[in-house]
Amino acid sequence: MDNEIVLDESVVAEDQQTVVFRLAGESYGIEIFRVNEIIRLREITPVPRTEAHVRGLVNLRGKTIPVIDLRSRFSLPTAEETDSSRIIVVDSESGQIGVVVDAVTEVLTLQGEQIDKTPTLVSDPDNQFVRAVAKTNDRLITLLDLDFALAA
Amino acid sequence: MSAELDMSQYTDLFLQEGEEQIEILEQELLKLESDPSDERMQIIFRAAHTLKGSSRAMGFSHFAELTHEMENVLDQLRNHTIAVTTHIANSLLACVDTLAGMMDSIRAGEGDAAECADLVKCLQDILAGQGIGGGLSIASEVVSGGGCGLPFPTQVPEDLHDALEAAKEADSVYHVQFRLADDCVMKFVRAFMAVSIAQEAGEILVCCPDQEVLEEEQFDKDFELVFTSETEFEELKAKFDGIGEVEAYEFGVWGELKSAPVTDKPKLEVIESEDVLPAQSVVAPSSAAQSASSGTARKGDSGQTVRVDVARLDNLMNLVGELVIDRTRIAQIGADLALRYSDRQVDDLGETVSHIARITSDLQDQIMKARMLPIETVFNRFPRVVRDLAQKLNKEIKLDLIGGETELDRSVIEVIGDPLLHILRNSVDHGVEMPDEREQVGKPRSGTVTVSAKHQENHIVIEIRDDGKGINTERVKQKAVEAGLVTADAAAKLSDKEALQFIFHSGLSTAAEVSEVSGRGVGMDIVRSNIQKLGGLIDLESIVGEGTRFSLRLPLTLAIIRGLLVNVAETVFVLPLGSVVETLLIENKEIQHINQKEVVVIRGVTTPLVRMREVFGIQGDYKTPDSFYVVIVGLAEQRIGLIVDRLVGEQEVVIKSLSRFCGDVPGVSGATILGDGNVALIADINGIVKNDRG
Repeated sequence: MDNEIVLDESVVAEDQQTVVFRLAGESYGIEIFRVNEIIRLREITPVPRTEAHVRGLVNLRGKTIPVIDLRSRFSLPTAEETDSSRIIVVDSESGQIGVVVDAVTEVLTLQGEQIDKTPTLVSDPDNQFVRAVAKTNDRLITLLDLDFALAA
Repeated sequence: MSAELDMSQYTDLFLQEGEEQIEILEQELLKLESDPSDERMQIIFRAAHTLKGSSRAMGFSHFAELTHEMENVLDQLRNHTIAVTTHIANSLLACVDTLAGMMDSIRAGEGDAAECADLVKCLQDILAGQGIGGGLSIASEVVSGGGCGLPFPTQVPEDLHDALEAAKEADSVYHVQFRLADDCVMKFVRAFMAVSIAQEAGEILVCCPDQEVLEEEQFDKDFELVFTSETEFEELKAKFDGIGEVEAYEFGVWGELKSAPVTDKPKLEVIESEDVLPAQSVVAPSSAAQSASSGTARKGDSGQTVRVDVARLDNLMNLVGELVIDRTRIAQIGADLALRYSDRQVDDLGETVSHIARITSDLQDQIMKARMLPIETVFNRFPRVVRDLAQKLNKEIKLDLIGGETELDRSVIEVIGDPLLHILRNSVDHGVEMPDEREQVGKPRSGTVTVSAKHQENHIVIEIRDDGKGINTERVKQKAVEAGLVTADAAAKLSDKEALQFIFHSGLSTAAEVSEVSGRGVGMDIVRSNIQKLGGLIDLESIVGEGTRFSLRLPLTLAIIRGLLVNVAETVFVLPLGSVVETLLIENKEIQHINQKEVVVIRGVTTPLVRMREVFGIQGDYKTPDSFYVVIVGLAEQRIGLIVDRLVGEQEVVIKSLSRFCGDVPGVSGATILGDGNVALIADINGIVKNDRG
């Protein structure tokens, strides 16, 4: 039985592919399995009398999906949209939702040891949407708790 | 074939078939009192019999027991040993209700357990009252043996015969041969039941044809089993007796059935030639009648129609919806290209686009039609309700149903039943007078309630009319004043038509006493709001002494609507065209104020105005122009004017729900995608008006 491959669950669970995007100069990450697709910014129809961070609805191949503004959600200053602005379409409890970000930079495979699950940041009530922080060679990536960030 | 066979497929079939039979039972029982013809008796009896057979096959014993008792009574009625009375009709109808209830719980996966002992007792009393023993059952049971071409030559391979003989030494070896009825719907279920009985009793030695073949229903109607068992012959026979849809079966100890084992060629031929003969003459009469008639009916049906899952139709409708959106888009792109370039290819594109547009519209029409159901499906509930109500109230009422064949989308069918029923109850309860009262005013003793449906443009118009006493508008006004809905002065000035609108107000009922039926004043407001939710209009007219008429105008479908596109700030909103009455250009100076609310007088009618910008809380610098567009919308009997920035056009739009993420947005009922690919919001006229009032 020595040659049986034993899966070290802690390593497997932590080893994850992450979509990294930029928002107000900082890097954030979402697990790749939550991401449906990434589309260019397109005309967003505002829905009146919804919360400020709900930008409105977009047409995703014949479906209408709501789009939220993460800058507004995280109380970051608003910015002009640029050519690199994108909508990341993610799965959520209430169906597909689009998330507007400044730019999508890369897809990273993060090793378990790169992820710090208990940075002091996480315990700060203002930062409840932070799931963990990952350190790469050159920078820090805030891994988002998507469900918390999308909760109305 | 495993014992934990997935029965759900057969349960569905049972439910589907059962529902049809229950409906037939109810429809025909209702007509029975006025017209107890032999033919009708036969139909009713057959329906009950079919239900009994299939429920027993599925192992729903309560269901089977009740239908069995019904069958007993029906048989006596059929044979004219007892006559149809209101009591009998009531009891049978109550049974139908209980059966329908059982169907519901079976569908919910809770089995058929329901309290029906009282009903069974009641039916037995009916029989006993005629000096017929309650327990006496009629000979509609499964027939056994006796010249039905059974036993047939056994299919058990000869090389096994010796082994079977040997097995007999140790245990009892039984041999059973089945021949299923010609119209047996669930052949596999029958076979499965037989196999499980044998399995439970002991061990199956031979199954011909193979169990897999049985499972796939790849056999004609004959099958046989050889099995060992320690169970008594009689006990097993009783179990086999319970299998439905069997034309005949033979059961005995192995080697003792007349046919088996077959080794003698000439004998085999003789039996086979018998076998080829049509079995009609030898089948028990009741099942022969049933198989003949239901068999032909089923054949006729299957050639013409296909059952399609509703979800599949919905899906198809969604796909066509997306096609409609893309069609509009392509048309727009084509038009843009034509403006920019002029060469043959662009012309070709234009032609192709218009062809595609035509095909898409046809496709949409066809699918819409496929989803259409006759309104009869709703109307069918009415006779029963009116009958029961009339009996309870001691009124005499004739119900006329007109235009039951009028078709409309099943999405609408699903939701209009209750509102219609409510209005109908009201007409019977409050509208039509007591027979004596009617006689005094020179009307026929029996009142008439007419429900009619017809198509009008893209709508369906349903009318419910009674020839009763009409609505006393003075009483309505008085009630409205008492309820504090209006001041006495204002009430006095109201026209009759305006006063009638209070009927739709919650908390108002003109019935002097609250009856069990209606009169609590909670209904008409719900009726109205339900109709409005559908984008429909409801209107009523009433003449004292002559009667009342409700008329409902409903869209034919809820999936695709024609809409008027308007601009409010930079956003496009779609107003359902069904609610749009007219559009006007109004000068600023025409606006007047009443109670600090803006109104405009259009052809003598004061119409309140609502600014769409305010409704949707759209801010921004907006200078009121000298003149602006007003879209007059009709909400039920009301008219209000919506102030919009610009009129864009008219278009067919596919309704998409707002994402749950957005929650309930006041004033918006859904979203759609326009020809340019952008999303537009569909305005909820009902919500806007409510918002304006509140």
